[in-house]
Amino acid sequence: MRPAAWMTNSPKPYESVLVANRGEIAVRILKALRECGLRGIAIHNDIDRDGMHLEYADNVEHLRGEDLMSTYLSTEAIINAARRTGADAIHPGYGFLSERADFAKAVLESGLIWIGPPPEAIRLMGDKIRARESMIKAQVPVIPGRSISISDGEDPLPQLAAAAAEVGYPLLLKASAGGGGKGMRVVNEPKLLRTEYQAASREATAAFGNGTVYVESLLGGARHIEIQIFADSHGNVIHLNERDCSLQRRHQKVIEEAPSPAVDPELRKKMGIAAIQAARAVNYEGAGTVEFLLSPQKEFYFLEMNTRLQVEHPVTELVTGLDLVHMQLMAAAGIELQLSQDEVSLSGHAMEARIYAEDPSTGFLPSIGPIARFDTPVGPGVRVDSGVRKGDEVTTSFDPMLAKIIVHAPDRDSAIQRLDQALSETILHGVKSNIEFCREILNTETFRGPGVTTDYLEGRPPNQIQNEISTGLIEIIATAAERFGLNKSKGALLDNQDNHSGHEYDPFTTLTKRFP
Amino acid sequence: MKWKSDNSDKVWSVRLLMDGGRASVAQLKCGDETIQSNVTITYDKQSDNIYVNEDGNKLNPKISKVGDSWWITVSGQTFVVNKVLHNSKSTIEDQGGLTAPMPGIVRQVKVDIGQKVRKGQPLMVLEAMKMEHQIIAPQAGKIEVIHYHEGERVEMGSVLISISE
Repeated sequence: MRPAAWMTNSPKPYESVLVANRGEIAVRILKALRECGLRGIAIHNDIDRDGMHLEYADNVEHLRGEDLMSTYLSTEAIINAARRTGADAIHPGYGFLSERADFAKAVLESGLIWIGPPPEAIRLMGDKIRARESMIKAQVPVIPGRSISISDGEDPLPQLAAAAAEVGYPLLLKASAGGGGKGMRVVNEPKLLRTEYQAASREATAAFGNGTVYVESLLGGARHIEIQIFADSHGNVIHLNERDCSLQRRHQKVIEEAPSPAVDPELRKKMGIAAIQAARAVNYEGAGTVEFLLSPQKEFYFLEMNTRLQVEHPVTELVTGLDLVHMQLMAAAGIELQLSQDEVSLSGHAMEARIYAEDPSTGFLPSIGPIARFDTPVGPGVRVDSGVRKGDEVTTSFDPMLAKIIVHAPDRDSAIQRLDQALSETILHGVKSNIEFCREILNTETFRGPGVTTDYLEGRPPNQIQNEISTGLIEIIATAAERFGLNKSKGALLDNQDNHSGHEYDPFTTLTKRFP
Repeated sequence: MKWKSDNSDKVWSVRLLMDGGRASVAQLKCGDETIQSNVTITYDKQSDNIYVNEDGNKLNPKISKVGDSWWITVSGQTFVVNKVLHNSKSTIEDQGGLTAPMPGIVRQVKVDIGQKVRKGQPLMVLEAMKMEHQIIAPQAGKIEVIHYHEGERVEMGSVLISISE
């Protein structure tokens, strides 16, 4: 083993890391590994042979199978891949196995370094009911709620009704093992309690293998404010300010920013201290996020802790000037935090839009197809974290989030302008996306003014986008494109060359793909 | 050529006057209505790009061909226009059935064959990307055929349920 120079004197030096993920986060981590002088190992399954992340790996391991269960979600397959490639450490990214305590434990037990928090912290925070209890003990404020326990075949209604009577309507049914909006349902009136419970429980079973659901009061007009924390193995815990992720659709975050327009320095300090208390209560290590709901009266309540790197981590990186993945790599080597709380800066304003493959005009149904064109913006203060490129195929096999467009500017107004401009330069053809929907939101008075609350998009009609130029201009352009034979000459030029992707629309990208 | 864009019911027909690398509009019709257009188009072979001049405004649309559709982005807005072939009509109406809006797995069938349903009634629950989507009756009627059952995988566009009026 030849660890990178920067960690030669560390307690747990390592040389190579297997990234147990795909898409934009795998790309992000593999790039960081190269930058840090570490060997990056990527995995893929049968339908992901051309995944963009493989381009950034020094080694590639094929996990046999098409389904996630036997590949990206298989502890055994991943640990075997680590053994075969001589990996010293595993980074889980987000999603997949990142918050499975059993996986973290299995990684550690097989003698590998786990780039993440201790398995016990994951287990505790992953069980939303137990997490609530430990937060109450640590004096972190929690949302009024009640747990229920429904056995197989039991009528859930009596228990549900009792819990509902206690927390009141509207209420939220939440998967105990949940996250990302899966297994979560809003109930506005008693007669929908049973059907929504069944839907939540089914979704939770499908997504997390655990159908346990609990009942929580739905706070109206609240904002989703989360605090990024970081802890090392020497007992140091700091917070890296908040992110405002109030703009959500069906509990999926769409636009995130830092700092929050609703948080002043005093509140930031209070929430930061609460987040540190939460992390300390579970002996946390590494990067983590403590999510809070902030009421219109500026009271905050613990929502959950995500024991991993977040999708929206770049906005924190831009306003603090820190690299969270580098910090994770250092913490995993046992190196003490180089930064005290007072040294954490907050400079300018950062904002991120998530590009999803979904069609706003059909009520945001997932959209699939070949990526015929993907132009991404460049310029001062613009960052793109993407997991796809031209020539890739978007399928329903994986998460619909394709990329993130992130901007940094001196203040909130200029960040909104910059993100709007960056999104106007983001052109995706072949798959429908929410790009124009994001721009529409950015240009609303509410967003530009005080910012939004988490229920902002709920009451909004799904298709407000005026997507019709009535002059026939588009049809004229299409006719001209057809008559001039646009896009044809390129294809013809390369017809005889190796085009193993089987896509006729773009042989170019497949030619430039290189696999180690 | 006849076109229909994804988010509109209107059918446009366009006839162009071709002159080397330039084209102008000979005839533009929306449905049966003829519309005047001063749009001219130039084609740059080197870059394989089209440039548009509309009443002195110059536009540089980004264009891709995907299957039989053209994806066109103009001023930050993306449109998908599909070539209208002769005698092609909406498949849903032709088959008297409901089609899957996306590929996925049937999680729940909420109706039986022969059952009378009202407009808006949930018929089926489809799951894709771990999220559930309801299949709703577009009109009142009687369930004639249920083509897929719980646990079965469906492709996008598969006919799921047939309803008679």
